[in-house]
Amino acid sequence: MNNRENPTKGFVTVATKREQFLIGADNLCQSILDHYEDAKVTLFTEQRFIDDPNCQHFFRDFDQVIATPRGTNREKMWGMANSPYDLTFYVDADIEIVHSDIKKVFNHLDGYDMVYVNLTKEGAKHFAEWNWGPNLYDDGYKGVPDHLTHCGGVALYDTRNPLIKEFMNDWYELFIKQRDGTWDPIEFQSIQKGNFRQWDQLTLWWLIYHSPKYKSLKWNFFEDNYRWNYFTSFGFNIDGTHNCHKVDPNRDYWKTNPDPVVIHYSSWMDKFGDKGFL
Amino acid sequence: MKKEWKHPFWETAAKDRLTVRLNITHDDGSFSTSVARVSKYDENGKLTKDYEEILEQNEIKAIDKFTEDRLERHRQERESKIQKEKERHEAKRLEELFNLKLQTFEIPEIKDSTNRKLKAKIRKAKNLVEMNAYATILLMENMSEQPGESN
Repeated sequence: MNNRENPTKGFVTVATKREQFLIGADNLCQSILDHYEDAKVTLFTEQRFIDDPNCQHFFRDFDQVIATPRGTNREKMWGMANSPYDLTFYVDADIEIVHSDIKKVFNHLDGYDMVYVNLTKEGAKHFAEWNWGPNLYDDGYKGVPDHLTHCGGVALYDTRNPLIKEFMNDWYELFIKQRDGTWDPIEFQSIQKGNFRQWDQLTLWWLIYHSPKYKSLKWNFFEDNYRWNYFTSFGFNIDGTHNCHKVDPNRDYWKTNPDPVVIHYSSWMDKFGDKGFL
Repeated sequence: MKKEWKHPFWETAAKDRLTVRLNITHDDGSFSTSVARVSKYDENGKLTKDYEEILEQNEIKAIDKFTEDRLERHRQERESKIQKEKERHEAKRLEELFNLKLQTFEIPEIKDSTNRKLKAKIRKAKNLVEMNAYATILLMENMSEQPGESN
């Protein structure tokens, strides 16, 4: 089948370790279907949950439920690598979709291999760790920035380029080695502050900016950036408005399109101590 | 010894007392700084020496302006703090509401319901009352479908 012209499209989420995350993943799936009733959503979870009769109701509305090879809290990258769709929008399980623009998400690929949300300087105070040096993307620095730039909470990508699947697999394998301390590339040596090596975002930063293998990949940031990953810590105003203008002042989408599509309930997962990033 | 009176502002509307930063360069070259409160009049009703010194270094107009600017800055800071607190409270409320919705979806009758429309309404509810109202409708619908359980 030639998938060039009619690529399959779908959403992927991953829930491992705790049943609570299955509840979140089910809610995410339902919230996608609330706005996009034909959407295909695939869940990656542990085999023990798939086999558990008490968990079957979580799986009813998923297009596919696929077992992960391990039970770590970072099986997400394995799930991303094994998406059954040509065009995939990966979404963390502690996210809810709140806008019908979710139907248009795949248009944002627009010829790129991957599209991410950019972690901005003004949003940095909301992140556990963000920069380790003075060279900042938002200050106009053109080289490799000294901070995390790509948020892994959501990711839009096109697996018709076979390098993308390899990229996601490497992200998964390298992060596990990074966390174990068995992989510490020379580019990490300049990072002398914080606990950046515990974050999969740092692995992503290395793959994007330093891996020779993936130099040819075309990536982009969402033009209406934080609409696609609006962290609850950014704030909800009494009048129902949001604060993209505060955390993303260098873009102007919020002048015409201020309402988020994706709400990331970051502290909901954080209370279990398993939160990846925030 | 050299005394410099910096950034004075009126403490009172009567303009009879100033708060001011006092920088002193001592004869041995050492430097000290402190915040001083200076009364306009002494106990005999005469202008104090410190007050006169302050006025030699700072015009009354400048003191008035600095006082007004400071009051305005503080007012804005207070408003901003109140606004931030409101926003923080609202974010916390929505996080809690999200958690309650997930709990609601774990009620067996709601969990097993195929009424997508009502479940979507629960998910989109803006507050606890709205969420409870839709959850109740869904539960009542479920009860009315169970023969013999509606009474």
